[in-house]
Amino acid sequence: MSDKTDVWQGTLALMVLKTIETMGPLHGYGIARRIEQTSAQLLSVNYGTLYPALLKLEQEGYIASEWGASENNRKAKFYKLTRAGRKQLEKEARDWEQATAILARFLSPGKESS
Amino acid sequence: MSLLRAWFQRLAGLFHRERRDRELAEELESHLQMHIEDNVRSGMSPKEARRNALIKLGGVEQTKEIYRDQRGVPVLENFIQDLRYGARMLRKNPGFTLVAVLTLALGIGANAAIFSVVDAVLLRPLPYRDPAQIMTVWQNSPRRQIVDGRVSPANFLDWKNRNIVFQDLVAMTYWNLDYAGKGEPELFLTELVSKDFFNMLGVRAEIGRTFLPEEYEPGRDKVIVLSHGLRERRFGSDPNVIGQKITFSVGDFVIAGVLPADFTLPWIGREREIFVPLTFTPEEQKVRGDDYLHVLGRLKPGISVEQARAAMAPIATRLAEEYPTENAGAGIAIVPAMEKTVGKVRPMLLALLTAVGLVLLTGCVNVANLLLARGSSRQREMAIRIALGAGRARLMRQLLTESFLLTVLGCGGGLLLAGWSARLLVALQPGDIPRLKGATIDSRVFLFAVGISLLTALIFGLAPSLQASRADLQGSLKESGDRAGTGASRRGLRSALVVTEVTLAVVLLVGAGLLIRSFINLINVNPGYVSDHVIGLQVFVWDRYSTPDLRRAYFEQAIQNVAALPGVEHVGVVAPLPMLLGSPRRPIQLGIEGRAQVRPDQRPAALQSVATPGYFAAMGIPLLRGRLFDSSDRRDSKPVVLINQKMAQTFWPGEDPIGKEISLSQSQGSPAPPLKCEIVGIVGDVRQFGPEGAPMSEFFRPHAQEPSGSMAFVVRTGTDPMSLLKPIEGAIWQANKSIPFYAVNTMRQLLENSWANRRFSVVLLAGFALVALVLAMIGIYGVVSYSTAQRTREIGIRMALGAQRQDVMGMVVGQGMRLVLIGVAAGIVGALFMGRLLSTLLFGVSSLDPVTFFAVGLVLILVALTACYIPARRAMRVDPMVALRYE
Repeated sequence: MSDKTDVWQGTLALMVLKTIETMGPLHGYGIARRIEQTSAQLLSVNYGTLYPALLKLEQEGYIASEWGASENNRKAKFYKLTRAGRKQLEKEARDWEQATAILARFLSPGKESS
Repeated sequence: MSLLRAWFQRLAGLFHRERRDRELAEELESHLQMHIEDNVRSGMSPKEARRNALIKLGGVEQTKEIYRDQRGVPVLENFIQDLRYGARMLRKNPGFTLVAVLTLALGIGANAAIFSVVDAVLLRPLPYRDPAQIMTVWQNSPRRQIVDGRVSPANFLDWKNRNIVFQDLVAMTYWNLDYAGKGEPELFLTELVSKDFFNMLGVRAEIGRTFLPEEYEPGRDKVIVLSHGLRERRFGSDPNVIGQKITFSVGDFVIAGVLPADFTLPWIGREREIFVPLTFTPEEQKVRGDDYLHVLGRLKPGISVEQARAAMAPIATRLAEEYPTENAGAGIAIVPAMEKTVGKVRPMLLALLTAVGLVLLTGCVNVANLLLARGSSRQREMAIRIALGAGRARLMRQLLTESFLLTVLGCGGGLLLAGWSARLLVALQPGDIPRLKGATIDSRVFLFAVGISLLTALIFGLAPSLQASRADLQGSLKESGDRAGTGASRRGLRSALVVTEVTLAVVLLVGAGLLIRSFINLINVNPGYVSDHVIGLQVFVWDRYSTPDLRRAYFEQAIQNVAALPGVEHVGVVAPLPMLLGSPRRPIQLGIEGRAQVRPDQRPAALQSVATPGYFAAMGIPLLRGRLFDSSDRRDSKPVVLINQKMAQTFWPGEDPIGKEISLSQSQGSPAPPLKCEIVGIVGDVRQFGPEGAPMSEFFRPHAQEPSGSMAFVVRTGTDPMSLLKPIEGAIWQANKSIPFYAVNTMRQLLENSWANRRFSVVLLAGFALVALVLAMIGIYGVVSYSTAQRTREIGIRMALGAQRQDVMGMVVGQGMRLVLIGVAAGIVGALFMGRLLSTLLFGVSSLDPVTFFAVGLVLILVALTACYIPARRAMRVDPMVALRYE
């Protein structure tokens, strides 16, 4: 159980950072929605996964939060990227690309023989 | 870095939890509302929109739970939660808490207090550089039963020059400096120390300096070093002590330095206040017959005590061959300074530490028992927790936390008690335990207390938590609350604990009993004199009266003055006063008239004393035959001696020694012919070294013929001698106003001081044993009454079926007593070991003393019967009808 959550949390963290980088300061609902849209509704983000992940990123100093007003004038907590967060995003993105590239080579046997 | 930061944040997350919870709730709520609004915008009805959002987002409470775990530190939070819960449980059962905490506080406090003594006395190193290398070196003489004898200057110099194992050997000897300046006369305890004494020990002066090499030459040695204490006492905070002159009866001395406060030579008895260079004139360097030096040495690095002993033995053999008159039969004994300091008190302190440890163990067992009893009533609570999904490890952790909480309270109380009882220990006047005044509740003692507290928590907490976490779920839930936990294994565990308690109590009681019997034997010993109403005042007049005639005249005058006082019955002077600690006393060799000459090392030897005629009456020593000294024994008349009964029986068995002669060699090394003394009387034996030692052969010479300068006035009065102290002192001062007394004691005090060590250990051990007995009694009572209460129904049925009250009583008492008997048997086996541990502390009683063992067994059985009887009587009174309707 917990192993799966960790993997999911790891990738979720990357998605959250990327989302905030693209969209600018955003509240939890916005982040969830954006991730769902970007994944073409393949992923579903609920409270139980999102908020602990946000808290963890905040504890690690990659994002900072601030209370503000939403588009509909509703009180909401907005998350924005910190400098450390930007660096972390670059690093994680690079790592992830590298990992997927390696995996891709394993998974497409045609190229191996050439 | 970010990991560290995250942990820091998480720790911070332990605080302001309510505000953080509220913020999370708000955030989730706004998330939900936005979701609903979006759903409505996409065409759902408000109700449907809400339902859809709730399903999608998942449980709010679970989220909060996960969020909280991420926010804080779950292990720590659980611990805090357990602590809070534990504290609540303890508050809810104030009686239980009080008993448990008091038991633990007593146990931990007593252990900390005893440990503070053990630490200060046995464990602290001596305050020198590399103290383990410092040895005391003695001249022993197995045949004369001397193990730590002093040595002559010539022998000392030969040891120093011939040995290859000591970096350095130094000598010292005892002296008194008699203050003759302005103000009150005072006698200072002084030590003469030879060259390199302070260098060898690695001790530097606190102010000024120690002695320069050239100050160890005769004529340039009028310098002194003061102890820290003397400087404070006589000079206060005067910064200019260095270079000041002090006038003593033997001349003026210049203060060269002051020693640090922690400097001590703890094995030599009373702390010395002044140190003076010890020099040897060329004549003194040749003296071989006068043994007055105490020798210290520092072993070369890497040399062990055994190697040193092996290396010194041939030197002793050579010296015995070269100088048989003085050295025949003499060896060299090497004892580490630390061993010399604490060797005598170590068995006693270790016995006390063991005993107090056993008391704590008994306390632990009792608390464990209480926890088990309480655990029974919490059986259902535990079962419900397990049923609701609590892990067994989690339950154990919770119960251990509760034990931990008890221990923290116990430890805190214990440290308070320890601080208080450390003062109590000193108030018990433990006698001559060296370095005792260094015993304080410091960080080492604190760490020790915390350490044993943790151990304690584990010991008494483990059994109940194991028990509880092994709980039989179904059984417990089915049973109704009151009857829960009557399982056999639970009763078995509690019974085992009671057996342990009884065992420990027996061990401690036997130990205390053996010591009490030893003590009774000791105080019933006849010391050989009548100690009541006798006072002794020691003076030291060598430096005031340099000739024998002056000394004779002084003492005659002073004795006359005292005798004239109303209330004084008898007065005399003696040297040395029995049991007065200080200068060592050795048998001296003598010749017996008419006996063949024997080899020097096989000559008879006896203690020599000097006395005036009045001494024997003042001390209450009976004359058995012949006559005492009288006025006819003068300087120029025939030398005479009195001998004690032991000497008469040893050297003249079956003969009448009166009229016989003994010959004493004149002052050591002198060529004068031996002095022939006629035996004129036999007096009763005195135990010269206190009641523990057998009387030794002793002879007395009249002060008129041997006018010593260090004598003790011995005065017998009709009433309390202390009330006459001032007049007595005044009468002695009439003969010379400037002579100080350096030891004033009643003989009763000296006798009691010689018991002080034992009284201390007896009182403590008896106290510990009593505590253990009470704890055992509580334990027995607890188990028997608990199991009786559990069996009320069964007893009711038995009685309804015709069981007699006596049968019920026998059943209950029998059940309890079975445990007690097992405990007593085990305790007797344990006590055999305790007896061996105590063997060096016993006096006149065997460590297997059947009377003690029997008495302890009997006491325990009687106490246990009482403890069983109370619940048994309650069981006997059970009304069958009530019992059957019970529950």
